[in-house]
Amino acid sequence: MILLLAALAVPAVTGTALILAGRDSMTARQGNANLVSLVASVTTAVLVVATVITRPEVDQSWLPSLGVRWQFAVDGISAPLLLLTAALGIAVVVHARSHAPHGGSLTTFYGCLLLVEFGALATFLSRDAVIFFLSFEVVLIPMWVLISRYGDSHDLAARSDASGRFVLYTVLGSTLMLVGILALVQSAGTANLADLAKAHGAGIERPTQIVIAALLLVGLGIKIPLWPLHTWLPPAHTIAPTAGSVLLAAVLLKMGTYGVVRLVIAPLPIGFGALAPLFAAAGVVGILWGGLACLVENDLKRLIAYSSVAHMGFVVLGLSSGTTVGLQAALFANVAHGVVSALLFFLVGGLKERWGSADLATARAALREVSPRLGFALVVGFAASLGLPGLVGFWGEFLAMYSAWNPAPDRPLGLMRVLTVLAVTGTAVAAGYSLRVLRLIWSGDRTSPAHEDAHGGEWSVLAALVAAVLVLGVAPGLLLNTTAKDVAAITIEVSR
Amino acid sequence: MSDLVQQAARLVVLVPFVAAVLGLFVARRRLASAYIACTGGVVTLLAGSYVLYAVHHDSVAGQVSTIGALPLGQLRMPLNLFVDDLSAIVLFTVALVGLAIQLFTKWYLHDDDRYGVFVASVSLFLAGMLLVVLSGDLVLTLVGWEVMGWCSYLLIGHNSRRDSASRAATKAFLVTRTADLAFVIGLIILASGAQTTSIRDLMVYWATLPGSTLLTAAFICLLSGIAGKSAQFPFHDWLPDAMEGPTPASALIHAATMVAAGTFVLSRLFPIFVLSDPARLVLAVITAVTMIGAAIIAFGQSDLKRLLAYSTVSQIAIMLSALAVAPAATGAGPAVLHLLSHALFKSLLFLSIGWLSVLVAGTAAVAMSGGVRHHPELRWPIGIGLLALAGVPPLVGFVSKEYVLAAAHDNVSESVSAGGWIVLISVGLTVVLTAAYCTRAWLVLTHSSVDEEPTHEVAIEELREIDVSLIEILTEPAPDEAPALSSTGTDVLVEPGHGHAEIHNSARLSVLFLAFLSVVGGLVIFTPLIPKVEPHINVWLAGASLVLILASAATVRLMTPVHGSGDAAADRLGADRMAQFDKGFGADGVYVAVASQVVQLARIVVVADRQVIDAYVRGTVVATRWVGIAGERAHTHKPSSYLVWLLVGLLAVGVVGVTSW
Repeated sequence: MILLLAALAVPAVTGTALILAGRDSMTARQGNANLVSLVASVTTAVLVVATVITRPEVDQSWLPSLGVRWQFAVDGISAPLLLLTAALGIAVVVHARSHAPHGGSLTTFYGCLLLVEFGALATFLSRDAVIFFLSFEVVLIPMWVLISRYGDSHDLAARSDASGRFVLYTVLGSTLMLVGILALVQSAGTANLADLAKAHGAGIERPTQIVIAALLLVGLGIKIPLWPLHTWLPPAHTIAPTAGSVLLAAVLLKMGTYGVVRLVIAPLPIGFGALAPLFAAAGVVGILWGGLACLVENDLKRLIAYSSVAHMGFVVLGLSSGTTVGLQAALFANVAHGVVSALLFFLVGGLKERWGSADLATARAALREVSPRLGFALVVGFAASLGLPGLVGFWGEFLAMYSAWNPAPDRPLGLMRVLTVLAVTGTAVAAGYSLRVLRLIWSGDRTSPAHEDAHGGEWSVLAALVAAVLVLGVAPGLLLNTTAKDVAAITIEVSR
Repeated sequence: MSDLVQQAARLVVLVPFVAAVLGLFVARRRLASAYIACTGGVVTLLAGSYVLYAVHHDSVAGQVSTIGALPLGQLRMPLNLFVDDLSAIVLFTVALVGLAIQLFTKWYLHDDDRYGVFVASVSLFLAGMLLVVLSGDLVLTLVGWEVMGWCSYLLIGHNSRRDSASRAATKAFLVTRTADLAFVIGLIILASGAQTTSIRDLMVYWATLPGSTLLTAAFICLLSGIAGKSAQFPFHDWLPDAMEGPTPASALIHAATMVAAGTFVLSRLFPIFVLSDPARLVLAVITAVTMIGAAIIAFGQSDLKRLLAYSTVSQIAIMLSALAVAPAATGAGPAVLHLLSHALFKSLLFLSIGWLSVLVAGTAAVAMSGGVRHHPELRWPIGIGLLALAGVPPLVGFVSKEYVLAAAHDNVSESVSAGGWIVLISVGLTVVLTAAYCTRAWLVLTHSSVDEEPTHEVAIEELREIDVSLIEILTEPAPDEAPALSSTGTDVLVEPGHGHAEIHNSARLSVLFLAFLSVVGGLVIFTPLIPKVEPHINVWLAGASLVLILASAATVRLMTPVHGSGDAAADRLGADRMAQFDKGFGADGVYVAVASQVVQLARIVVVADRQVIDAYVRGTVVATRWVGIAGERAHTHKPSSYLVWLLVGLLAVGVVGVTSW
């Protein structure tokens, strides 16, 4: 129990302290900020690992009149996301050591990173719907600061547009989600997520379930982001500093799909069942939409943002199928996208720094010629992104397609099969844009303008992520076995 | 099944994979890379030999676990390997050819600065193929299948400094990946019915539903993917372009691996494939079109390496056609026999042509003209390879082709099916065409005059200008310099500079050993190594095909001018028509047209994203501003108007209060 609370307290306290110290711009302290946040993030990671292993529970009364309690716990569904968040918490700090952003005091920057990490950890740990919402919101402001102060300063109007759009759009989503959560808590009579899941929606009428599920799906759909609610993501990614992009893609988007599992699928099975075809269709449109946009997009960071929309579409498709396979697939694809998008955003952020822009239309030195390490990581990253079997991207997407072909009995079979075929088509589009990027920046014989290869902190972060892509791709059981038991509790399968 | 066999089977897949990973770590060091790659090849071959020995000596067969089953609710996914006589003989051949290629590469790429990466990719490629061969689970099949596709991308694009190489690599991957879309759906259908991905279990399930529509649908989907990887019509055009890769890569892709993987997968599933007549008819038609078309195009190639590429397309079609017609009792034996025989003589041909290309600096027919005459040590290897390809007795190509013909003959004589006749006639026709292009190639290679035809050069120049590719469209925001003239067409096949190092003994031995096997390989029918293949030759069929071969060869000999180019094709077709042959009659243009449609759609999506979907988002900003302005207007700073509003408000409240009382 102490472990769990400490895992939350360390980033929260350190982050706040760093932000408060941020006014002092003495260079010595700026240098210390990295060390402090490195220690904090490593400590947090150790504590998170210990928490995941020992699985303690916290349960303290907070607002008795509302029935809200401080409830935190770990289960198989949240454990992989906790580990991912903690690992990337270290990665962004290590990476920023050599690639610190410009635009403001470094102490504030690191403080914001730690606060984002804190909010994400609290979201994945909380067992109370209201606490879940609060944690969800904690992430918002530090992320806004990261984008609006440390983002790409080439075009200030674009930067303020991107950060404003990010904050307003997601606040809108949160508002809808809050209404949904309150309605859910009101009609189910408890805010405890475990109890809500156990009840499987018993006692809530079908129309009520549908209305609540719709509110929550739209609210969380903005975060995922679900087509057509995705237009905040590309500008946010384009502008955000590398660390911001990584956390945004690898952690924040996961909070949306995680919320769908906890707040919609488990407690409102009937309501979700009614909306699932629509949800799945939006996901599949996202797969094709995002993939096609990537085929002609010329800003590399925007391109990866659009590819995120496509990848999250597979997660949505898996969630919608209503089967164990589908849920397993979705949770796997969730983590897979976290790893792959983190790798790609670290790479692309580094490239943008070297090139001065992320424009693909400009002639560059071929990565394979001048920076073989970056080139290698890029090849692995895009191979994983196009869902190459044997790498982490494959399992989630393949299983999601299988599950959509064989959905739960109450789903419309014909529609789901049409959606499967469309989703499969999306994998060819993914191959198209991945190879397009490799052809433009990886192969070729240009060696000027030369730039330096990755080394030190940047290379160790990239190498670790490449290793994760390979290990989880070769041994998917590591992840699937973790989630299996808790997934089975959510989906009650009926043989068809 | 004993533990030792299980371990050996696992090692067969694991060793090349580990060799690939280790190879990447030492990629900068030549010797270490070579050592790891060749040791990996030897260990794989030893483990494979042991599996082959155990399967036949102790007659063991069965499942071998790998990374454990995945917990997926109702779907059982055991991820097992499957060892039996079919997988044993094919994995042995793959390991053998793989080792020969590794040894040859050590010499061939001895001064290439990316040798380490190349051989690591070759190892990974072999791991993928061996996984397909040993797979007892549809998902493992798919993993190996796609890994091979990715490695082919890396190998074809090995010389990524050359734009044409990277374009050919991209084309190969995109075409096969597109064909694989249906393949994935086919696998999903097969797995869905039985709720398992275990091949053995799902075959038991589908065997109870002969002729079901779903089964046919599944196989027609699978055929699409197989046509993609095996370069069958209409997906064939990536393979000739794949000649961009270094010769060892071509030998690897063409011989026992990637293009033959489709034959193997279909052989594995043969017991249920045979239950779907419509799917078999589709396969018969596809292969008939491909084998004749590719053989015709092969005859007119101005580049001998591309001639070999088209001959692969044609030969793979013959393998697959055996599966389309073989009666259930015959099984997949003829197809597997032709797979093995093709693996031997095609790797022999590629390696020896690659050897010659180093000596004469090029693979164009013009450059190679008289090559064998000047380099007599290549006379036998190339001669044996071409004879085997043409199917001259008693070489291995003759034996395997006879079995395919016999399978078609059995089909026709047992029951009159359209597929049987289609295959019988088209294989017969292909025998004639194959003999023709083999004779042409041999006459070019042994020609005594090295006069060049000026018209031929003109054709090549024209070709450079016409040729476009689907990738051009994807990369429209092209880097500033214009694509170099040397980027397309025939001259792409100029070999990398070699410095004419004397061939290594290990490379020479590999070639000679493959030549030896191509001569005596036919004896395999007297062993029990290939399932259900009994030693018998249909004398009538064999005699007929021999007569056809001789007649065809004699015709080409007569067509060939004694003086001048010595090239029957260049002489009779003329430069303009030959350019058409070199372009494969515009198949690339069709791909480009399809790709450009997709890119058009993508443009529409981008516009819609900004102008329609995002318009709503921007609209909220505008709406908020308008509401603000309206609110500001309402503040007139006149107390009287405020009082009016207050009264209206009170009235409204009063009305609501009274009505809801």
